[in-house]
Amino acid sequence: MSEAQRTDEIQGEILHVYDDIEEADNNLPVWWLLTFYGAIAFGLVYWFYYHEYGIGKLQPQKYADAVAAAEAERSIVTDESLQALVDDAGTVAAGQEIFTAQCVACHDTKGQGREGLGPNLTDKYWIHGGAPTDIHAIVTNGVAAKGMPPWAPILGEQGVKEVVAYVLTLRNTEVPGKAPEGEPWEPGGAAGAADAAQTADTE
Amino acid sequence: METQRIVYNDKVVRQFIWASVLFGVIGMLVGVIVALQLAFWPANLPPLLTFGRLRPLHTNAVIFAFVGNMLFGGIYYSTQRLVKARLASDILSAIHFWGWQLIIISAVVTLPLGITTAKEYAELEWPIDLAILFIWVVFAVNFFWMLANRREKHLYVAIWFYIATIITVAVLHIVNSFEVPVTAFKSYSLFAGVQDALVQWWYGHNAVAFFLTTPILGIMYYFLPKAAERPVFSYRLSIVHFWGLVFIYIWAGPHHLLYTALPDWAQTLGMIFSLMLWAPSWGGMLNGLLTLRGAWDKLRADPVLKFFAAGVTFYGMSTFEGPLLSIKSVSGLAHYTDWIIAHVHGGGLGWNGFMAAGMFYWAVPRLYGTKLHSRGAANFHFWIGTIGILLYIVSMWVAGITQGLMWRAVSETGGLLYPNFVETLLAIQPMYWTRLVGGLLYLSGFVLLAWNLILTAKSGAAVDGEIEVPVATEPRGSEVPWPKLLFGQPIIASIVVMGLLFGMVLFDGLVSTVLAIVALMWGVAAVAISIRDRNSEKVSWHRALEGRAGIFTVLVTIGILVGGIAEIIPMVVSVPETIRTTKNVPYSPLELEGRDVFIREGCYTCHSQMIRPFTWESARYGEVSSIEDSIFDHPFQWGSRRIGPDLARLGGKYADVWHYKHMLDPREISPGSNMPPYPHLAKSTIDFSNTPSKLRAMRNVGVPYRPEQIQTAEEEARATAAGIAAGLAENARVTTCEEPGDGCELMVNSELVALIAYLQRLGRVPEPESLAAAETEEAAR
Repeated sequence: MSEAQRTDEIQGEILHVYDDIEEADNNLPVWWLLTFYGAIAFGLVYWFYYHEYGIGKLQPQKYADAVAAAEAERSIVTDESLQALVDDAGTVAAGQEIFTAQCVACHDTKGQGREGLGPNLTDKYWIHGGAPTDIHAIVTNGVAAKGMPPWAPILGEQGVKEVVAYVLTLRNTEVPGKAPEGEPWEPGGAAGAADAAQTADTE
Repeated sequence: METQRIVYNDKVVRQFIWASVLFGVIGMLVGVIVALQLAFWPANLPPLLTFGRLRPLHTNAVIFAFVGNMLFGGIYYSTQRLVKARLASDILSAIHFWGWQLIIISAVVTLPLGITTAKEYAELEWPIDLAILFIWVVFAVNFFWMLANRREKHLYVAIWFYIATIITVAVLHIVNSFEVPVTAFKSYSLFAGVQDALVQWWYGHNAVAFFLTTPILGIMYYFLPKAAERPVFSYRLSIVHFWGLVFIYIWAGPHHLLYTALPDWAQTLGMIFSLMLWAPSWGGMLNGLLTLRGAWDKLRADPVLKFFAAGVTFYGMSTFEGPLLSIKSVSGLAHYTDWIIAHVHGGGLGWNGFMAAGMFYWAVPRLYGTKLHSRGAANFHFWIGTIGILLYIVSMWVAGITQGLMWRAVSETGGLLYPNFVETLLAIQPMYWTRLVGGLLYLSGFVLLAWNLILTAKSGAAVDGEIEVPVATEPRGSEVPWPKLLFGQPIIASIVVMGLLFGMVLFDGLVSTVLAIVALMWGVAAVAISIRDRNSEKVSWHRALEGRAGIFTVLVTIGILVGGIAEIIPMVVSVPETIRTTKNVPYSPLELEGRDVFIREGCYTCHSQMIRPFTWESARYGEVSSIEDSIFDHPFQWGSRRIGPDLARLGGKYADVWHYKHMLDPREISPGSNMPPYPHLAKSTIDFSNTPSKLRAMRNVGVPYRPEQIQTAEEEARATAAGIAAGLAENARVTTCEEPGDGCELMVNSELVALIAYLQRLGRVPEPESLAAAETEEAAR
């Protein structure tokens, strides 16, 4: 390296030379320095805002708030309110759409069930009770032991009601498929009413 | 004046360049294959050639084989000339070259075999980790010995970057490879869950920083002014951005873990240091581009300068995109999507690939005493390469943002608008094909480069560079004593500022604020003093430092250690407490075996196990993940990409039959899925006699298995497997068997059964009853 021998017409004075590579020494661009200092200042402010003084809410807190708000808004369903939805063609159609997208993997296209997976929904036998609120509870919370996932988070409150309305239309259509499982359920049956009251409570 | 002739060791440079070209083509070819596998699942050829096994091969090949060989060649070529000394030892140089190629070949063999640690870009198993360490030490000795022999007192900026590379990669590799061997080709990470995640991404992020960035910046500082024949823009910009990168980069790792179970303070550090990194990164880009002042007209004809100018520009783009993606809310959208894939390929193809091409086109003719065979072909390579990159990154931007938005879209009914994950995959399928075209174009350009370079070499003959230097060195002038350098004004100021900022940990609110303000004022004063001193006649502190390679190296080492220590130590301290208090329990023997199958198949390359605190995320996958969920995971499996859905709470979501059918043929259960089929797992059995040693290894890394659990591990695993198989036989009429034979559909002791056991455990802690029973049993003994 030999020290400063020349001045380049564009880069200015040459400070050092290494293996014929010349090194000039221009000022740092001001906008560049500002982005550097700005980022450092932002970092400090951010740290104080969220961590030292806790003025801003971090995501876990925001999430907890959102969950609490959703919980507060949840409405109550009854056998009657669910059964009434069956008469609404729009609701049933929406439910069928959900069923086709989500349920056929285990319950097959007409609700006749699949071997080793979901039960037949078209007979009068129900494993977890056949009252509308029973079905609503199963769709909402799932049955972990049987591999049925909870659908409320995925479908939303309204979506669950729609698909329950559709499933209620499948009842007793007797599509040949998976063999009956569980207990027979009749509207107004004693067992059904008792279960319905219980599940409505747990809602 | 008496002179002596130095002949540079350019043989090893040529070797590294050819190896880089060869492995560049191979690594990019594997990249094209894995891209095809995502667009077209039948391109998976199980068991060896599935996406999960080939993706690590692609990343390792392009990072360590292609860029690795390129940077060794570039460092050796430039440093010999910058310090006017031949590489210290021909034997070490040869060991370095051949050793590195052996490591690459061992990676090519072991990764498709499923021998992997499942830590991204550090997948190679422990014997190869040791080999890497050995070769890296050889490299370091060879390099620093050459510096000791130097005939140029001061170190040019390129060499600063090389020093940072050698030191930091060694530290990263050693710490991230802390693992306990189980067998010759299997080990478990020493770190647990959240620790492992933090250490891995401290490594992963800084592998990008100190393997793919700093050495290439050094190469830029040598080859770009050489090719442009123009002076480097600014020495003082070099100083500021060099130390900025060295100090700040190391802190930024946690930006890979935003919104995960990593503690919030560490996430915030990752984010704000990433933002601070923007300017130092752009300092490198500016020094490169502004060096081209007065040479822009040469770009029209010269392919070398085209590659360099575009490469540096892509560097600027990637280092803007990086801080952007590190902003928490942006990460919330982009994390786990193809946006990240776009980002790394902007850097990989644009910066690394183009800088390599520029360096090769410039150096190979000189190393063979001839002219480049075809300038036209090189220019053509530049254009198809550029179009390839643009197709690649634009398609992945579109894919990433599309998928990210679909994941969080909420329907009118209040549920997820796209509850079926496959929908979000099918939506980006056209982008996968577009990316494939982009990748193919880029690969074609590189094949063209290989052809061009081979014909160039054939038209000349290998020549080694030489230089005439005076024998008698001038008498050593009075050196600045080392304490003056080590405790120079900038160092004292840094210590004070850092001390004050670290002091903020100890105090809350007002005192913290005062500390921060004092730190800020001290920093400003230090900058002002150094600006004042710059105009004085005496040799500056930094200039004196550049003459002292040893002290320079010590300061770089301290600079890179601060951030790592500050982030990793608290996690090392806090995790044992979590293990003591958690309600989670270690995996059962069969689940552990299943987990090893999961790791071997590289499932983590497509599936995350980390549910972030967003309502749309918990709606899809279940309760938000906590530190405890993965506290017994060695290695952690949080993942970095969701080509398939998150699996953190998969356990119990579907029946065993569902998993059985899904693994045999994913599309039967999930139409449109691009997951490879794994029917062979039903037939390959696990040797449970190794299971106790696996539990023992886990115990050695801190998982609280009880001694009798280890003793009975084999029987327990067999019993659990028999239970699952019996369930499948009963519920789905699967023909199970103990011995292979006609009509056997599922071996009882198969990997598939173990995998199902593991998948059904994810996110679930076994019932307390069985725990209580186990404890009474223990008490009874």
